[in-house]
Amino acid sequence: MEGGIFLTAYVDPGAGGLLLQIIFGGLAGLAVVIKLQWSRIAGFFRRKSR
Amino acid sequence: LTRFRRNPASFRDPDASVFHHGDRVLRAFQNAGKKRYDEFSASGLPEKWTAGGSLLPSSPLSDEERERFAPGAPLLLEHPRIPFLSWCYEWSFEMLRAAALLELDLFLEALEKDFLLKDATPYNVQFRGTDPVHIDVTSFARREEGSPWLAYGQFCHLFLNPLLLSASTGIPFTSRLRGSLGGISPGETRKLLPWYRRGIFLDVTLQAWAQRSFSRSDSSLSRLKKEAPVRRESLARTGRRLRRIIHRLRRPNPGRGWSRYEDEKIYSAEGAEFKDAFVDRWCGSFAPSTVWDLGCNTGRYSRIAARHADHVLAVDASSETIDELFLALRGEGNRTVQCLVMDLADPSPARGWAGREREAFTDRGKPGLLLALALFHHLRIAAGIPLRESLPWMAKRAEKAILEFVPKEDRMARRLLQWREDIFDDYTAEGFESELKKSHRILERAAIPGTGRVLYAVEAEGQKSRR
Repeated sequence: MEGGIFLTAYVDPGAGGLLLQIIFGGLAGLAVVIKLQWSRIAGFFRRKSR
Repeated sequence: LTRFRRNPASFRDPDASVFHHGDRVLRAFQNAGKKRYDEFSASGLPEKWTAGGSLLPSSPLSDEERERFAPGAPLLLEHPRIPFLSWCYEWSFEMLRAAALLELDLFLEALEKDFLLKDATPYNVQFRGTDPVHIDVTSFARREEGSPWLAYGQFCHLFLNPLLLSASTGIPFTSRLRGSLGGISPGETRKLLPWYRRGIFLDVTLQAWAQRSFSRSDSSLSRLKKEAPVRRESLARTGRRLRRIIHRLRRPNPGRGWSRYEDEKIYSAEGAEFKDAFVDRWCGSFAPSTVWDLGCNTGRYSRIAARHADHVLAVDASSETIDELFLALRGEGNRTVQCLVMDLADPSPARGWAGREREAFTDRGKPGLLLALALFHHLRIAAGIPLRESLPWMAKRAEKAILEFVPKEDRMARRLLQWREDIFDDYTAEGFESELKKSHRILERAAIPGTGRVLYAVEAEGQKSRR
């Protein structure tokens, strides 16, 4: 788990549930979720190529 | 002077809080809380739900009382008292399911009128008999356009996941919920359930994933509300899906509870009749308003006590036994007996913030009459608690009691001894009586025909005898 204990303590245990409802919300929600994930993926590659 | 105190669990809501004045339960509102309450009342829902029994009634107090109890508060409500407060770690599977379905029904109905259930926790549900009732009228607020259901995660932690785990593994959720007031997370549930189990993909597997990935994103609730508003219909779909999943779950170990009937088969027809009559006669004579039946088993004597009392608390350590009893009582329409799952050798401790949010079992009241029928041999032999401990514990909580002593020679006691060394020298009829007499006067002592068991009707020393 990259998040680690420190970070987990700062995340509301219901946060995943909110994200889930947004995914179910339809295309707009899905786009937002992909966007959230996208920045992670992009960041990952940027770090690699540097 | 009547004691006035704030409910130790009522500090989370800045707009309303619960107070007690003697036996009375009062809820004081601040301006924002009153506004929310007025809006919600205007929807007609509280009135309808109160009439239907799903919401605890509230009646506004007069200006005079408001000024006396809560000066400055714009609104003061009074609620009727719940006979005995119980928490979800003292419920059986069917009790938690009933509470979950109640919360979802309220959620869905409120949603139609554009209100959202802000908290979805079993700590907002209490039982009157076998009927679950929502006790917090401040749980509902106008839905903000685009807002997700903020209490969805809480619902999963405290209702869905415990029910899923229990149904799937047969392991009661009670010890787990007692251990953590926050419930069971989707991540934990996912690890404990087989991945192919039906109905868990969205709310468990996917939610666990979303939780993990969310913890690394830099988004926020306010941003998401704007960028990806959740429509009302989508919320309703979530509610209906949860309802369907929970409705379909199969209760763990059905039929296992009935095996406890064996305990009662020990009596011949004559013996059973004798014991029934003894309990019935003394319940009538003591005429208590509340009864605790500790070690209630199939609830046979709880039902007898219910003929004479306003409220009977039926306590048993076995979750399956309580499930059977709960369903049976509900079928009978019995509104007097309330069920509770608890091991008497390890009664619920105080829990929560500062150890004061959820009171310990023994701090939640005293019964007018205590039934402990065929209980002490379990405590002595199985749990290792000597009579010099168990009888004073009982004596402290009950001025009047009906007790049954089961001697070591009894078939059921022998079974308890079967795989143990007999180190229970104190456990004799004489030992039982002499310990009992330290606090209570024996009003009647009767051997049950066909067994070596003895029934006692006792009253605390110093009580004025009415006979």
